[in-house]
Amino acid sequence: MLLATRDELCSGCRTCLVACSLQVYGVVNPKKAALGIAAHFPAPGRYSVITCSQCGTCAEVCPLEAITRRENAYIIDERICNLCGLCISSCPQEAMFTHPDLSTPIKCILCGECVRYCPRQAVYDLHGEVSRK
Amino acid sequence: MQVTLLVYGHAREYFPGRAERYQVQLAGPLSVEAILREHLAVNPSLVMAVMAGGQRHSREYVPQDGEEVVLLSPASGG
Amino acid sequence: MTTSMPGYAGRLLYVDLTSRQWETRPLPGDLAREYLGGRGFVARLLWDEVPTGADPLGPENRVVLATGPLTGLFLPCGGKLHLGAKSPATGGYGDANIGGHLAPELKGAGYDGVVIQGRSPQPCLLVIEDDAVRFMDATPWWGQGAIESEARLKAELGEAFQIMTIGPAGENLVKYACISHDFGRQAGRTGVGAVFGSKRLKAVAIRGSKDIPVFDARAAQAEGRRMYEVCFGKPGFEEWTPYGTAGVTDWVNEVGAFPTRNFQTTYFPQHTEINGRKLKERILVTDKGCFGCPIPCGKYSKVKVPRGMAYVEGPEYETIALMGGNCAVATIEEVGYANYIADELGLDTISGGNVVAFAIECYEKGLLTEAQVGRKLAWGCLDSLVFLLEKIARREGIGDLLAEGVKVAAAVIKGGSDKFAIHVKGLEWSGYDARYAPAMMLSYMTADVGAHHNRSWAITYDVAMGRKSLEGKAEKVVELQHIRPLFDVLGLCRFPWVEIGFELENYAAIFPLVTGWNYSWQDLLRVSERIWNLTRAFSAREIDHYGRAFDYPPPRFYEEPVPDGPAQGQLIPKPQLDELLDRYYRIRGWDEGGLPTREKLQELGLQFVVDTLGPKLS
Repeated sequence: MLLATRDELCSGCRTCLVACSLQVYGVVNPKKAALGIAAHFPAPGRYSVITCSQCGTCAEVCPLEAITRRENAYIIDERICNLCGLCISSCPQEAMFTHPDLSTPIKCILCGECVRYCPRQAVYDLHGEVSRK
Repeated sequence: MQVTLLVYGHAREYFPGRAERYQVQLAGPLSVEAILREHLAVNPSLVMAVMAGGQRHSREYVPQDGEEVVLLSPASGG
Repeated sequence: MTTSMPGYAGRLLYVDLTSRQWETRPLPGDLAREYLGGRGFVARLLWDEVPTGADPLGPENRVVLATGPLTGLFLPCGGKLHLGAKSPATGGYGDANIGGHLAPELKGAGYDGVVIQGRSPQPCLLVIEDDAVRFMDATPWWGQGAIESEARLKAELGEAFQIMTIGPAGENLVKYACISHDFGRQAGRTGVGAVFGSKRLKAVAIRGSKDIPVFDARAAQAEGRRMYEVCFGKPGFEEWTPYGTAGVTDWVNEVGAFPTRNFQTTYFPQHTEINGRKLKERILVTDKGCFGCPIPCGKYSKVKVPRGMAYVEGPEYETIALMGGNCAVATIEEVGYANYIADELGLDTISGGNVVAFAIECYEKGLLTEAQVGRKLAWGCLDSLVFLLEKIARREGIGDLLAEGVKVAAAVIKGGSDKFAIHVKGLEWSGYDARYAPAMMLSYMTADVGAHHNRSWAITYDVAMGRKSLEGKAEKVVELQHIRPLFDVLGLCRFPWVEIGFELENYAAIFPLVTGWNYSWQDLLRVSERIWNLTRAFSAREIDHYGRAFDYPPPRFYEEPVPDGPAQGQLIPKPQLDELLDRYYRIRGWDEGGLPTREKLQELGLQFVVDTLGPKLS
């Protein structure tokens, strides 16, 4: 699968963020999500969804080579990562995040939970393997 | 002919058996308004609008044979 | 911070704006178990914290913000923040709630609620960022529009903050000033914005990063998934959303309940110019959802009128009713523009629409003159609306009187204007004329905050069961007054239930997984009944001779038959109103004067109310 977005469908509800944190970290906390929503208000009045494109820039720049591709997703090895932050500042999508509770950056592992529960299908699988429930 | 009515929202409470789906056998084409009155004994005013073919219609909409239409409940808010 | 109470952040934040002191206290276990959250916390904390007889606009009044146990979770529509105060509009219990993203942010910052008292020496801003609480000088923003302030504060503090603001109306203590958030959502009713203004609190900005503790996270996740899937699978899940609440406009006209020209009549011939279809076709920019919402009712729009261009969230049905039909404004663009003006000024569009319409009717009847007002007033005239709204928000000229609401304005203007001052308890009437709907009429008469529809929206019951009959109406109103406010207790929006028929059992199913408490739905309803009695008792404590006399609609609704339209000739005569009240009080276990009996209060675990109200009770 590969995440893609239809920003014009996003209503800014952030269900994807909660679904993500719960699936990946087992906690309810939208601040621990591997995707983001930017709201552009009061003008022009739209949302954009920030998702990881699995472009691999993070793996390229990681000085410790803690990020490797497994199947379709780049995954951080938390035993190696020292949270230097280079991947975060290098991410062209700005789709890597940090949280004070966590010792590695937050990065999309392509679990598909956001796709399954985005009510509006604003986040979807470009390959069509995963879809909204 | 047969049409299927799907009841959406809280007005379901006032439909017979509180069901979500009603299959109705009709002798001929009939408006949703008339189907509600004559076949379900439901006050048509409990339906705010009818959705069919992705479009919003009034209760005067006449479903085709085999068609599924959605009945929207009135709702408060704002 | 760990908590012993899953479903809760486990702390309350107490803020004193006079001294700029704050402290956190552990959330009391019995408060959580007996009042659950949201509206329950608001009701009990106001009872405990507000001194009897406090001036609603004085430093002793409290504003309580509260989330619920289901706020911020992975389930449909857990994004509601409830807030309340002793109401400047009614002098009794007042509350309002607001969607957007405030409530999950507050809970994520580690607080189930915030209790704010005092009065800041100068305009201030309360910033809550996880465990850090600070005060900022808000002098630069004082006088600015509510939405403009939010945009500027986001630019200053950061996009990640969720912000609630007041506009000039709140600063100037207009009795129906609202609180604004997320560029167009409001805690609209009962004058909570004026209480903010009285405390010189321009805004609250919140940012939270904590996990929300859940009793059984995996089981709650599975149940949350199922709840979303139930919503996705409902017939017409996609269909309700496009028009939002504006979609009900035609229907309310069809059943003869649409406020028109200050409730002179109940059918507005041009209603199809201001309905959901026109909104979607002419002005809609994007759907805008609150936290966790699969069926976003928020319609973000862009309107152009000769006066100017504006972005506005809405107009929602209530604004369409009160600033549209009730002021006879007949284009969706003009209603949207009036909505924008009210939003920036920080005025509740429901009360605001009522007050403007009341003023126009007074003008029409010669009770207000052009000299008094400062211009001619006319139905359907956007300039009249904007003129009055701005005068009201700044308390200039006639606006100073109109800022008090229709009840006070009628008492000053006289000339029989009290007959068409459309309110109950001092709170103006929302968007459903109930002269041909006894259950809806009783809903308005008995709503704890005043003439508001959200405690019991019973008009479909009237339509289904017969619009003249009184049979079963009081029972239905009581039932709804326990179910609907329960959403405000749990921290939820009720739209999945109302709009798409999402079953109430779903909430009962997830509650124990979140909290670890085995409450049945009936147990939850019992809490709701406890709260209902407590809010009634709060008003009885604060207002002399409170009770039955406060439960009547204005004379227009029992003396003037609807002149035309589908409800032509209808009204509910006073003896029938009394019959409705008698039945309602009996079902509630209240006395004929409309106060809870000692037995009822004791049965609900409200002995402390009995101890306080003592001789007032039978």
